[in-house]
Amino acid sequence: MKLYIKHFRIFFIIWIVCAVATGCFWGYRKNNPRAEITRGNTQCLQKDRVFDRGDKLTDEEEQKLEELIAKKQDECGCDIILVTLNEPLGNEWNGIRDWADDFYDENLFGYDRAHGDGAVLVDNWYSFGDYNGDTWLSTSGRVESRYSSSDIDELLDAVCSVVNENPYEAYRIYVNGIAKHMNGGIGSARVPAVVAVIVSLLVAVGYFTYHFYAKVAKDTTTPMTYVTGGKPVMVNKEDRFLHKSVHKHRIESSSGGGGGHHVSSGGFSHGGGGHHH
Amino acid sequence: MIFRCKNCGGNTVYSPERSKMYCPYCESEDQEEVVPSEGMFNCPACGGELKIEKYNAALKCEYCDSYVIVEERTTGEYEPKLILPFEKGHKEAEQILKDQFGKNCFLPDDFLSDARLSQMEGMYVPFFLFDFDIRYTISAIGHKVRSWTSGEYRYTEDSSYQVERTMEVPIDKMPADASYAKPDEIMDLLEPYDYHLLRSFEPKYLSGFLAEQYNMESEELLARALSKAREDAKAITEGTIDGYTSMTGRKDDSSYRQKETTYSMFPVWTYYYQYHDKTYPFYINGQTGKLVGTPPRSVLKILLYSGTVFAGFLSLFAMWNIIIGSL
Repeated sequence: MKLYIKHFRIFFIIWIVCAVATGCFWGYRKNNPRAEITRGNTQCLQKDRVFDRGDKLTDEEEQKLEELIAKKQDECGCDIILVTLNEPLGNEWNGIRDWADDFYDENLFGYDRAHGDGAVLVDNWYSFGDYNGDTWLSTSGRVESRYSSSDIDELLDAVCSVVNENPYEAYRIYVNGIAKHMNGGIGSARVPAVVAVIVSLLVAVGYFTYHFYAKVAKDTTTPMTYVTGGKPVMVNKEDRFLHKSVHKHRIESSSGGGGGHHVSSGGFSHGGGGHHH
Repeated sequence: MIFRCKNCGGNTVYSPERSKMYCPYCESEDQEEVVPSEGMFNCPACGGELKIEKYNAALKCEYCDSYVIVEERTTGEYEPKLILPFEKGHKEAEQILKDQFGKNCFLPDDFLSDARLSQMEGMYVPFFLFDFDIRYTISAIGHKVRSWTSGEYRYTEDSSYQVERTMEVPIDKMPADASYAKPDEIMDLLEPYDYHLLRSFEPKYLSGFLAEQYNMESEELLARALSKAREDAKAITEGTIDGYTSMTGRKDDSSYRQKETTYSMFPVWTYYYQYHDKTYPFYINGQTGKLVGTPPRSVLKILLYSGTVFAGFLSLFAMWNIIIGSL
């Protein structure tokens, strides 16, 4: 028992410190409940959040999406706007990007204030070339700073993978995706129980392996250990050129893009990224 | 024979710490005299019957604890030409085990107890040392590959060379243990020994330790020693080939010339630990202190310690979630 306590003494000290800190945080929050998130923007020109100008949703689907967005907006403190279109905006990403930014700016969207926290997904079904349309996500305020390019790509991948077959389901993925990513601020850092069990198990297995399979000895001789005077003699050394061959292949280029942080024509900062359908 | 102290009549032994003969009873140094055996099976000190096992060249009398050297097994054809005296004493060997395993929490409680460690014995193991000249040749096609990008194209260039290397590698005193009882792979791991401290054999170095005469002929060991020597020559020859991305069509060839073979004795500390009806052997190079051996593990301790780590981390995650939820 003495050896056991000595072996884990540092771990036990850390554990006790963490336990005390946890107790303090828990006690504090119990006595001081967290304030609810409240909407601060009173200038917004739109009550609706779903603008189905491309006519891809039924009235019932629009209504369901409006209800879902209303609920998720208050949970995560961000405006979530969806626009479908069916009009030519040019075949460069700039066209759809500027349209999305301007729509957000001109309608004074933003949960905390005008031009504040929020995102707009513009899904343009106007087809050209090999594509059925383009999807652009424009982010603003807290959403812009929280969403990296790879986060945007990940969300648009999920949306575009089903949008042709089931637009309603794709737009639900968008709304839920934004809300989940933004929900609760630091609360998203919670570790799921399954992950906690698996990680703890891996650490225990690693600990067990380290102590159980600790190598006792390695071969410490070298090829030169038994060479007389440490001087082998080179009798023959030859590096004769035979022939040379050169191969070439074309480098494949990737599709999609146009993303990154930028300033809209209204002078407001936006992030974003686009994918083809 | 035994070595007896001229001052007090006690059994003098070779002291690794002092590098000289020493009487543990009166602490005098280099005051030994030889007492020859009167017959092979009786202790020259007390006259008690010795339990000499096959191949014992030096042993401890179980009646008076004197170290007896069996002259018939250390002279004539069994006289080693060279010996590496012990450099590490009993206390140092114990400390090496403690340093290596002291922090291993899965070991049984008494693994490093003084009572157990006192059973550790120093032993001279018989070795044959082989001298060779190895000629090693590698022949292959070497490829140097480089690639670059120009415009929309990626270019890859492969230049081929005929590569030939032949090395003459003189191998000096490649050791191979001449004991059936000692596992070859363990004896190999105990290497290397420092040959600068090799001495001409004298029986006094055996006093205070156990010893075994060779029980494998040098001809039996030739193939093993030669295999080790070839591996070294191969690695040295390979080391002269560089600058190539890959090699194809490689052919290796080697020949050898055997030179001298020398019968020698090398020092090894042995510790045999009994746990759950199984013996766990440990060997320590008596010159360098290198340790070889796999310890037993207590299942109860494994469950207790690993379980503590698992439960500890799981509870830390739970605390983290509580703190995050409170912010």
